[in-house]
Amino acid sequence: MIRLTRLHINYLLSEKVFLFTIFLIGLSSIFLLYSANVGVSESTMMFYQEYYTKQLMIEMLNFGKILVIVYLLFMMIMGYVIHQYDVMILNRVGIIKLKCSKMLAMWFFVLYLITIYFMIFVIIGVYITPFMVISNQYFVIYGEFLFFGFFYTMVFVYLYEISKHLLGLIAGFMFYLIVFIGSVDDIQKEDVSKGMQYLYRILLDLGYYQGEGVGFYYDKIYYLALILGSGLIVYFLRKNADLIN
Amino acid sequence: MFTIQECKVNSFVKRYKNHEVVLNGLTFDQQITIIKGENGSGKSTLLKAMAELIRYDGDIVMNKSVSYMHEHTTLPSDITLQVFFDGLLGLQKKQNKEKIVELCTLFQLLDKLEEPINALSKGMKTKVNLIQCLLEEKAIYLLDEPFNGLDEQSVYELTNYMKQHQNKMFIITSHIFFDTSMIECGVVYL
Repeated sequence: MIRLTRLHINYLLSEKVFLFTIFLIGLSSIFLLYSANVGVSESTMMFYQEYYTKQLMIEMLNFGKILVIVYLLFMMIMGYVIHQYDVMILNRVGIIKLKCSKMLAMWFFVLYLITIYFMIFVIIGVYITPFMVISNQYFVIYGEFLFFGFFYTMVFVYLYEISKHLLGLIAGFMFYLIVFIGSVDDIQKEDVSKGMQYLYRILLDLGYYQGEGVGFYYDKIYYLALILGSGLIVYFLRKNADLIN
Repeated sequence: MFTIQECKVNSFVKRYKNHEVVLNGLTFDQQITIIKGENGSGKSTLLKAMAELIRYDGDIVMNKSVSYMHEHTTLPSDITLQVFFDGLLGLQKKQNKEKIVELCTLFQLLDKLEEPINALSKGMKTKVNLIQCLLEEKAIYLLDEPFNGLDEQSVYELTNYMKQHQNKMFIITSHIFFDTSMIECGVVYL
């Protein structure tokens, strides 16, 4: 499985992917620098330390989520729509191994981007702003972000497996946009609207909740069960389908 | 020594949305067999079914140790040929680098190993696809339109390669004119 995952990574790590990743990292750096309010005086920032810290975190969260989804969409298009080399691999390994390894490769790319994004956030927070103090809380947020990336990697893969079309991936992107637009940060969980509560039952979002900090509306175990259950449904739907067109 | 086994296709039905492919009483017992037929007659469908890549009704009795070359495989075009072959070698328990050199030499691709795949011509991409299929040590090779885009020299090299490997079985589809007198082979018309 590791060798197969490495094969996917090597096949997908092209110049285009590299340049797009660099572009997103550059964009993230500019955005985070802007969000760090470099123009505001140090004394003001320190006086409103809590406000500025929270503000930077919320902006980092929102930009990071869109970043992950855009990158995921790009990588899925590269890996599933443009480079359809799966049939060659099927000569060598079974279908389940192939699908799982490709999913792992996608997850690896997302993990890589999230890690770099977080490193930029921490570097800017520590060296540029006077107010940010590194604590365990940021490692927890990093973990939540990885889970967010994992969940949507699975969602995108499932949607592509069901539709076998680019539109399936675009649908995944649109679904997330709906969740993103509907989400309101810095409120209490009880204040989340009924509509969003229903939406959070099928799609997760990483938000900042008053009194709880960064997290998901429902527990991670719920979302894990949801995504694994959906995986089983996709498996049974595709079980008797042709492996290639 | 491997002996050529018979492949038999009986009561084969593959249903698509708008049509179905029905094949019956086909026997493949030559070392090299060329499947001929009009567009849509089911040549590619039959190979995919033999490679267990599509679902079908009916019986295909054959050795399941097959390597399949798909006609429309999209190669990962942004990487070099070397990276591409290294990836495939990485999947083999006993890495057979010599065979890659042998096949690349045979199909005149040895000096292209450092070039990105998207810089290769259509014929060269067909050769890459052929090499990845022949790289696997299997009893039966199912080649879907392997002559598409190949120059005369490469067609000659491929036929020669097949003749030399008499312990392997090759089942080939072709919708273009192919001079079957070049090699001793069976022809199945669909």
